[in-house]
Amino acid sequence: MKEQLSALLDGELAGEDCDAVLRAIGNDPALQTDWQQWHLVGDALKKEHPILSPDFMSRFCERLAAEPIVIAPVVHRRKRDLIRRAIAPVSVAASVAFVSMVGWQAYRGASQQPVAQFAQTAAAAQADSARLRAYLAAHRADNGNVFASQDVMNVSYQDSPTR
Amino acid sequence: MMATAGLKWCAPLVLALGLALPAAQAAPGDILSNQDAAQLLNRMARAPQDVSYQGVYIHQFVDRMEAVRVVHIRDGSFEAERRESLDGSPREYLRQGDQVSLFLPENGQISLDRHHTSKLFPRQLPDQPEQLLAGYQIRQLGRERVAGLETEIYDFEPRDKLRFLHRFWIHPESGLTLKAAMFGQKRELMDLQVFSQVQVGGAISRKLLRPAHPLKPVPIEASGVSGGLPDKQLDVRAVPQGFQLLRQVQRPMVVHGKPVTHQLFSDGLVSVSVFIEPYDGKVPLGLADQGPVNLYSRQVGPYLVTVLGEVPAETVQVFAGVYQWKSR
Repeated sequence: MKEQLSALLDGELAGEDCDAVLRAIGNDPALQTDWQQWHLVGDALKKEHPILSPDFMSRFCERLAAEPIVIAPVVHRRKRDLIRRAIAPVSVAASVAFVSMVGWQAYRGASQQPVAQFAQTAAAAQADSARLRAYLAAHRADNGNVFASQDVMNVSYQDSPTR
Repeated sequence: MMATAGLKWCAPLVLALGLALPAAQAAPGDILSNQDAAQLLNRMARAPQDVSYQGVYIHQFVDRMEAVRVVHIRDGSFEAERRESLDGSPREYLRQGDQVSLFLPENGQISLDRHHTSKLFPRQLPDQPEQLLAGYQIRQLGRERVAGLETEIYDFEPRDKLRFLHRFWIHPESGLTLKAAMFGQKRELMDLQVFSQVQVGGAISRKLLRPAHPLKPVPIEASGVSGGLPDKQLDVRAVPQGFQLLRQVQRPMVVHGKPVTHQLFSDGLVSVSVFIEPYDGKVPLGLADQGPVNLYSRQVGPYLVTVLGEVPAETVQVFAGVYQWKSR
């Protein structure tokens, strides 16, 4: 599978092969991670426009020698996963359509205003979660971006299937 | 599934817009002059409308990924595009001129703004793209292959801390964007759209526009600014440089069903939405984010002002601060 992913990245797959690999990526979080990391690595390899810090490649090579590919975003994802786990029951209660929703993440201490307490009570959190999704859906719809993301497809700010 | 097995990538040398990109004169690493930048922007904005292309692109957003097949055909005054999701539940989009039809898995009610139909990859820029030079400068970075085609890479560097860095991979012969990325403040990848397979120009059969699902026409809303702010005591000072108010509407929101004033601002590359509604005292205030989207809620007099957009946290706070309550 990794070979096919590599071929896809290099634009060497066509037609049904391409579709099959894309489907596989869609169904497999591990492959999604590979895809993202390979893009990062591919970008970093271009010396004339490093998107990562200049010493990224040396650190990357050290890590590559020591272990399977682990790059900074993984840490970020773990943190997000924790939050999603906390939010997940609420989302499920709100609507089965949002299983894959990425949780809204409240900053701590970075705000002049009292920090949002998103999980005070299940009811409050659910209402707020619906409100935030409605905002996001309205924002994206106004950008004509109805096609990009599934959560937008399933939200309506005009009638209320999730209530 | 349509037959694409025989598809070959081809980049015909002769295209209607087949002039060299202006930035070819600039050395890699140089910031483009305003004139060159404007020329590049106009070319990037026109190409997705003037060039026929088809392919599959991947959109990666936060930790989600989606593959979309896209076909765009321009033949004289005929222009149509069709998009079909390849992951998850089937979705389909067909646009001919201004008329958009959609197939959605649920009976999602959605309407589109006339100005914003088809701002979908690879059409990233508005029709009048020069406005974005107020917020960004463009740097040429070099060349790279994307989906088998040579591209020129350009960074759109924010002129202030209120925007993210954007990078575009442009097919020089056509001006078509083949890859677009947005990076966060630590230069982490936040949003990526990239063709994994593409044919630019050449013969593309109109049969590929044939819908695979029963499509429903989407109502197109009138665009522009309608009505004013909900209260004369609400005062709006200058929004951050480069942002223009594109749209203002009143709309009921799903949560409480009361009308909410929605203002949409854009700097040409990203947009910021401002929602103004009566404050019920229950909604949490402060910052939240979902990947590249930041959100900030603030109480202004008896109103709740919520700002969100694909901009840094600082920007949504600055935007929210622009709204003030004038006491009589």
